[in-house]
Amino acid sequence: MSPAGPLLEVEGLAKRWPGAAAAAVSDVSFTLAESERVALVGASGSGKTTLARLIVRLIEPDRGVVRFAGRDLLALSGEPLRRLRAGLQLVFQDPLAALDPRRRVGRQVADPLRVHGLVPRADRPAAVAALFARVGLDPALAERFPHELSGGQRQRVAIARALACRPRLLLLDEPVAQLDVSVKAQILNLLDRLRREEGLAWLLITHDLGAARAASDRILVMAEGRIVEEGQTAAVLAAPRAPATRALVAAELRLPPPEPAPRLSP
Amino acid sequence: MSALLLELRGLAVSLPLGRRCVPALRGLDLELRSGERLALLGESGSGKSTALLAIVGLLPEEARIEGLRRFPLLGREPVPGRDLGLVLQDPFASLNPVLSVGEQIAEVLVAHRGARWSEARRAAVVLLERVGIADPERRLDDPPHRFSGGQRQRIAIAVAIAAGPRLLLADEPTSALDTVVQAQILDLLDGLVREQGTALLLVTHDLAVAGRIADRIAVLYAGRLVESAPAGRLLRTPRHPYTRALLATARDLERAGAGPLAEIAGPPPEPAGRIQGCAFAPRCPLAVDRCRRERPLWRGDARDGVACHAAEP
Repeated sequence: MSPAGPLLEVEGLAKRWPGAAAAAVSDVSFTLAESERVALVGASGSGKTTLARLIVRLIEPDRGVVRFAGRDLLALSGEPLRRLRAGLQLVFQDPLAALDPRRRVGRQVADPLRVHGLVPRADRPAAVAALFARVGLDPALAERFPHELSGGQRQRVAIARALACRPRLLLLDEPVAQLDVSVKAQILNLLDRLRREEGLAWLLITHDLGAARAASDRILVMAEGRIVEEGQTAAVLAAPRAPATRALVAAELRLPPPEPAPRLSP
Repeated sequence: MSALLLELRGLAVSLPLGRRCVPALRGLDLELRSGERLALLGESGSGKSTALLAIVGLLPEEARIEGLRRFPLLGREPVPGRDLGLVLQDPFASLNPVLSVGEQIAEVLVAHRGARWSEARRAAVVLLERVGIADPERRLDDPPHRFSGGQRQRIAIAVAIAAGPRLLLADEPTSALDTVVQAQILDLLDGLVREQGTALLLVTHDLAVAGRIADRIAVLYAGRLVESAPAGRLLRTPRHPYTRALLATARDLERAGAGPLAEIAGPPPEPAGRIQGCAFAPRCPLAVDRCRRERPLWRGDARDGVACHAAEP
């Protein structure tokens, strides 16, 4: 595998749950390049979350290959798997569920630094402060517990923790689905800044076409466990071809067009 | 104009948080007329869900409540389930997991309309069919977990409308659903309230959802209304800088991405924090000294107005 190859390669990935009539994921193949932003969209039950879990091997596939940075993730185990997986970090929809409620958030961001031996103990507080600053959080918030933060702040903590491993790829599973519009924009802008500054790539899993539009260049549309459409995000959403894509686009609520704003004078 | 169904004047609610009492609503004036569809729009911490619970009369006992809440058409204390229907974000929270969906609908009719069980069951079949559950006669005895998320929300709506309430209150009824199911549920709600002439109070953080279903939108920020107007006008020509900023972001999300999204700088106000002047001033691009000093009063009437020193009423 040359270093110029894709960052993530998924080939013929398949999973059928025992007793299920249809496969949750069947024969899915795609690639994702270094620094590329790809969205994986689909209605609930389309298989997108199962696919994400298969990629990081939270569940074992029936068939298929997942290569990350040219190495077969499914063939590795133990320490080599752990090291490779550090480069591929997950960010979940609900940071409250992903964070330990009884531990201060700063310590949780320090965990990967310790576990992966990335930063010597004495330097960890400074490293955590730097991570907080990178995601736009006041480093003083490191002393707080998850419930003492807002939803947007918690998602920033989850992103800081993912960044601690210096990943090349983020798997973002509905990272803004539970956030208010204004906070959603802040998080999407933060992710975009991180990508520009650090060359991060991501796979954004979402049913929200607004988020896909804002945070992906290429889009994969899933339905019934398969990728049914793929292409440049703007082009696919402007002229969807597959019935599943058309249904998603048709269901999207649009605002009425704006009129010139009234004059404001304080 | 139709008859006044609900009136709130200066409604203030403080909720217990640990050993303190934190203001969630700081003085809300609102009116809703019979058959009207109003969206109460706000982000986390704006007080929108507290407002809904206060209207239904389901605030926790320790809550401190001030101000006026009145239902001129419904008598002194309207009964939730009978006069007021309630739909929550998570249908699992409103449905009983161990009762069949048929029993849950029938129960409303028996309790609030004096129906006999046999006729209530027949009515439940009709209601399930009306909310779009296929093969309702066969599904009547299934418990909620046998249904998908979207179907469960349909059933929760059937329970909420069973007794024929004058007012249906819905708290983020579609925000846990994917876009395709969301559109279906909004179509359903829209059809039902039109058919029945039921008034609707929809609490949401989503401008497009509000625009899809409401005649009028009232925007909450930090426990107070900042703007209220007919839905089309509010979405096309918002007056308050907060509404304008929200819309700018929402519109950026509708466009193909080029450059960063419009953003409202800074965090939303801390719930326990003291607010001096306009609550939005710390994040407002137009704020001047006066905004930080002096709270802008509401200009306009209970249905159409704005609270901002800079905006024209």
